[in-house]
Amino acid sequence: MKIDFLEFESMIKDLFDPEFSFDSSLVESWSSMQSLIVVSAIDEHYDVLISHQELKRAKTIHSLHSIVIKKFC
Amino acid sequence: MPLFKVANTKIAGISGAVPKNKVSNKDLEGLSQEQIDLLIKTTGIENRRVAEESICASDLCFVAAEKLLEELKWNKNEIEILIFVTQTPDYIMPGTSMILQDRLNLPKSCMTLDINQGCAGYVYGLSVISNMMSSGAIKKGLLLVGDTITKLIEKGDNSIVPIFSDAGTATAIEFDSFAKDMIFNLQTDGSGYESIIVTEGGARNQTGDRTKKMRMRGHDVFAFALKEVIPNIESVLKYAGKEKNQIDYYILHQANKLLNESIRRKMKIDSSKTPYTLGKYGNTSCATIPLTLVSELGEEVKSSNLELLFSGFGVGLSWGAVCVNISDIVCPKLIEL
Repeated sequence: MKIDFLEFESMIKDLFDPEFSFDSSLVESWSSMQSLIVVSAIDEHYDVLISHQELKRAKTIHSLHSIVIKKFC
Repeated sequence: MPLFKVANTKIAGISGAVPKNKVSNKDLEGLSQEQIDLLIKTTGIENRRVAEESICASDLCFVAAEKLLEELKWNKNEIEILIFVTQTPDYIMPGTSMILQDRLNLPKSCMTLDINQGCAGYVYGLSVISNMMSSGAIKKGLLLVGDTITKLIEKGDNSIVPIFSDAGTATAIEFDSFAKDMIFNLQTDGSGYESIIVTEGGARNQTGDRTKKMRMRGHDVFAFALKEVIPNIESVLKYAGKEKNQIDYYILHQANKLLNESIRRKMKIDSSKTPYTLGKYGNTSCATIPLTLVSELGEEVKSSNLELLFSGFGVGLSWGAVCVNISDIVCPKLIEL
């Protein structure tokens, strides 16, 4: 299964109510609670577990997407 | 021996007690309204119970045990084992189980044991007491499981304060040669011991700062549970020869809603089979499983034959599950102390 970036980005954006302050593109700006929500969703959608270190390394959603693809294969 | 069965013992009754003092996460200081809303929505925890300074886990377990024994009409002289599972004992020494034996007026023929376990503590405690009683040498026993974990938390630490809460429980175990086997799967990964830790106050750091409280690496604990809990439950179901739909209720440790719902959805368990007490009582450490049973299934268990699965996971890192049958057990109303 291919993980399309736009689909991945949309999945993450949909996790949060529009009224919450959340920049889906900037991983490094996420609060710990927001990070856990995203980690849980990635695990559920793609069966890929993202560690704390991997999340810290992924500063943008593009690099997070790359990590997920790498672990997914 | 991660997977094993225990014969000849059954749960005769379960009771619970929580502190009267109710605290709401809506009143948390140092967080914006938006942060509070997200926290409550994500964790599922709105209210918590926090014990006053004078109330310990042993006090909550004591009142739960007294009420349970009264309703069971057990002769206290027949109780020959008491196990107390906690991470908040009254003292470093002696063990609190010995103090509880005296407070409950149990006979000197009653053996006692303290077990230092957290979120997996109920499953671990049940495995120990049922194994001790399986041969029939001991006919009646008490498993007391509780924590006043809020005493280990730094006031104002908003990474931990909104999660944890206090409770004590009592479970009566009885020898019964007709009882269905309890099936256990217990696991450990001590390499993660620093994920949830109180570093000071033990023998390792005797000269350290004793005001230092509990630390938790939330992401590590979350990832551990996502990775380990489901295979643990699936293994115990397989060993027990049960399909997922043959379990009436999955009583999961009440960690937080995000994690528990993720486990439930991945396992494709219907939401009606996973009762929650997070909203009312938060994460009460080792007490969450029996507390949830008393609070949410208290009426049903009095007159039903149910196949249950308990799953605990957390500090250690330690995790375990048990498949257990309960039938018409005694279950007094939850006590407030």
